[in-house]
Amino acid sequence: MTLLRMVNVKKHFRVRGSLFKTLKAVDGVNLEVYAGETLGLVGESGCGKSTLGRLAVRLVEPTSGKIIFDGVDVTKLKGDSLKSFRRKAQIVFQDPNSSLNPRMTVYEALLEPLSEHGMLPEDPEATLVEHLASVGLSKEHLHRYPHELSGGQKQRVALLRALLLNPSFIVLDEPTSSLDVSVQAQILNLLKDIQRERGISYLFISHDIGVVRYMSDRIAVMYLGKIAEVGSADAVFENPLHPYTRYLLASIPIPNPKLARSKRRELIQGEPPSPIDVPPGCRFHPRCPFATERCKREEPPLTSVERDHAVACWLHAK
Amino acid sequence: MSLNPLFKLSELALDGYVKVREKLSPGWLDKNRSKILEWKLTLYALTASKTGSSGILLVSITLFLAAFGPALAWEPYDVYPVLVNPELAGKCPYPPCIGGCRGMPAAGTDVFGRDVLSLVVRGFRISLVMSAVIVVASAALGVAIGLVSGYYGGAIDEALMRFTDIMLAFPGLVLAIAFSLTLRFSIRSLLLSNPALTGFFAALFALNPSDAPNIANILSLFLALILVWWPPYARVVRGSVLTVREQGFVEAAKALGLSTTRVLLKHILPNVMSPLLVMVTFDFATATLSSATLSFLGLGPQPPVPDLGLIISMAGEYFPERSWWVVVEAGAALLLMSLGWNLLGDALRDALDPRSRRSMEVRAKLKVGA
Amino acid sequence: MSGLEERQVLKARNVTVRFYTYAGVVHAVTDAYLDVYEGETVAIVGETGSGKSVFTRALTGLIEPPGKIESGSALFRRRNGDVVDLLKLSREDLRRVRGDEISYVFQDPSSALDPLYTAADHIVETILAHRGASKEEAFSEAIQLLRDVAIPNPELRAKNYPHELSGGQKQRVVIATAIANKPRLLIADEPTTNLDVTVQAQILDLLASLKGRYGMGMLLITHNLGVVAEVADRVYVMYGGRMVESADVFTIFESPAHPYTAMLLKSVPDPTRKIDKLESIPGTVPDLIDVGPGCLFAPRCPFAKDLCQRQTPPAIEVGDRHVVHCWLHAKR
Repeated sequence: MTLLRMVNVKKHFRVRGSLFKTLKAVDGVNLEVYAGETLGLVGESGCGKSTLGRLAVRLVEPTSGKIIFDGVDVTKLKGDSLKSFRRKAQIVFQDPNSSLNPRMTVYEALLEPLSEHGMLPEDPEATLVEHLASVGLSKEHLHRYPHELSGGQKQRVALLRALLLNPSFIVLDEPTSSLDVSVQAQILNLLKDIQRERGISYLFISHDIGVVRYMSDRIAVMYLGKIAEVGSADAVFENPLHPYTRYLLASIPIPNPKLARSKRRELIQGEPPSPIDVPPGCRFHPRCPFATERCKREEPPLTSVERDHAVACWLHAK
Repeated sequence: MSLNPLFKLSELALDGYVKVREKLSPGWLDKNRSKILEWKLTLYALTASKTGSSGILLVSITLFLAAFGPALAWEPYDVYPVLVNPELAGKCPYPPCIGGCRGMPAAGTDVFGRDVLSLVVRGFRISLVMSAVIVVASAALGVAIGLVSGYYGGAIDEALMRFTDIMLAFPGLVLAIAFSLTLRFSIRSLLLSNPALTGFFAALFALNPSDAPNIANILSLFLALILVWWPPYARVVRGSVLTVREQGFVEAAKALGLSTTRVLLKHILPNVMSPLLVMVTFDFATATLSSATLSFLGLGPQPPVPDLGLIISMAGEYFPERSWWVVVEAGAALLLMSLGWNLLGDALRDALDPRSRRSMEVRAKLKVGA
Repeated sequence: MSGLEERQVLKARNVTVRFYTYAGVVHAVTDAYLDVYEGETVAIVGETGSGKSVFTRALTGLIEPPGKIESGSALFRRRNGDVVDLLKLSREDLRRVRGDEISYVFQDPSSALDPLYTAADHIVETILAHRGASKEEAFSEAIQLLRDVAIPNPELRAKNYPHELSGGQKQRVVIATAIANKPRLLIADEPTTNLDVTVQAQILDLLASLKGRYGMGMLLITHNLGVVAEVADRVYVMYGGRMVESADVFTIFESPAHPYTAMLLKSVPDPTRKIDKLESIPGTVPDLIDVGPGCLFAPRCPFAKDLCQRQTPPAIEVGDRHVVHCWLHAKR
């Protein structure tokens, strides 16, 4: 059952000081997130994954395209209906140091969304203490300021704040990238537990592909504003079809020295181009060793190649 | 741990307050432990330096005299001894003398025979109220405009900022003169027809309601000054808002569906408070001197109101040999006030800076509660 | 006084660094040791607060007050064969060694490069500072170095300012500057953490090839176990300011002896396998202020015994050049 559907969503930014140039952060994305699953979104800098995450919760307005959530077109919602959408679709940001107001205690920060949405509990103190326990925190953290908490604790608070409104969908934008490895594992396990208990869907954005594999049921690979490949995690990892995906997976350092040294890695050439100067045709063609004439002229659509595995590449077009 | 007596005193007061609150509602201490710690930290930061301690001391004196000056003053301001006692006429202004010389005040008199020190003590109230009204009103106006301008950006920002630029270009002195000369009549009639209003302002300045015309003068000055005083606040607040609105927690607030009002008041405003507070404190000093200057020029209240600038102005024609003590005493009062605010502002700026706060926190080893 | 073996570049022993702050004494590094040989890559692995960065900064005299190097020695064999103790050198002598015989690559290339100087300027500056060469010679060397670090069109790029270069290119320029004087030891502190994964792979590849070509030793500091597996020959694991385990890279990954190492390895998701549950390490990293005796990992260790809390475990050899600091491996 599809929970979120993004239809040909684009987000273009005008480049300052230039009439014609636009920064095409997201340039025509079709994506679906099913109920209760985790869709991992990977890509490198400039691919637009963060922007896509924000578009999904309408933190950023799309330049064109539609966002359909739970069957309802939420692209142009305003006022109360927008507010009620926000209850269902939440986001957790990368840096816990800046996503919490330094002048508000944990108590105040958690009470605020409840108060705004008319969901204040009878005994706020006791209820919040219970909630804190569900993310691994305790009563002593309730009346503290953010600077008195560690990075992992702050991120737990940010997560709880998103969960309080009872969302069915949460965008996780690099939620563990600023945390230590050992803390990261704790937070990832917590996220999984919560999903199991409440059936929440996640859009998990990360540049750490190992983490994405651990967390995701399905994976989408983004390149320069478009989805290059999407499918079940096993399919994409075991049988990557898009040349970019293959390079991406080949570049990940494997925490296994024997394996790491046995294979001869094919390294990609050059660096990701800027989303201001998007190459014509298939945007990956300048770096692709298999580029054909067609690739340079026409942009390949995202086509399904096998069950739950689609790729945007002329090599695999039927 | 600081051996600073000023800090110890204020800490004692704070601890006492905490005990009382805890008795009234048990559990209050646990809930507010972090907050109390922050207050203590601010107190510590303020009193840690000589600047801060001196500033607090001077400002405390200012506030005390402003509050209780009129009650403590031993002479009424609206009685002219030279009229009561004609033989004093040629002798006034009477110079100061130690050892009570033949019944004349030790601090000397002004041209009307009034004890200068008593006048100065009353003058604190007028100066403080004037600067407070100007600064608070301008800040409120400036903050409102700055918040809206900085948060919304775009066309609203452009329009508001250009308006601010225009207001900034107005020559304050000229405007003050113009307002003072034209508005005072309408304000005067407003006051005369509204005794409640007159009474309110009279109490505020510790003057007799019969001096309504003079109060009208002051009020027209206010209007003029506030109109040209608010633009710097709008600019500074807008600048701060531009930075704060990019912070993660503002984005998070939007994502949580919080209303714009709530975001502005609960998230943005508290985080622009620090530079604002420092600016307001320094501004008190500037406003004190500016209003004294305008009074000196004759645009403010007229005699017998004991305005410090006016007192200095009236001593002008006998200056220096026959009225130096008037200028010295009134001038010292102005100096004390503006210096106090400036020192406090300096200390506040350091105390509120997040980086120095955190390092001080460790050094202070503050404790809260039992 | 040559405690160095043949082909050994660095031998550090008993290095202890303390920071005297208002909060108390921070035991940033305690009794750390290290050996680096020519042509090998040694990795120091640890999380925040492990002391790995402070340790390496101490070796090159980059510790400022309130930090103080309490004790230790760091024998270094210079190009001319002399053996010196880095921790006992004068500031002037250390300055000569840094940049010439020992060079650094830091995590953030943007802050390592001066925005007012071009790529070539940086390289030329370090050449001229340590060697007598003319500006023209230095410049053509710079171009060659840029070519060596695989920057396309080096003649053009040499004249670029940092803001005109991408992240990967900036890091390459930093590396070029670091190898310009053919150092004996290259210290890289999280050199690829800020880079995209494809660029990271390129940079690691580059570092490996350079090491071979220039015959230098490389000291890599990182928290990324994947990077360690790719490039390191030997690994040191640090926790709470101390060394807890050291071995060659295969042994560390296949048979880690210290519980922390083992748990750390299990908490990193392996992208090549589908994992059911990630095992996390409970608790948080220790506070290094006014540390007492005992193993610092004990509070989080599932195998901790009474002894672990009371006494700091010594170095115990459990295999061929495999050392661990853990009471579990003490022989009765």
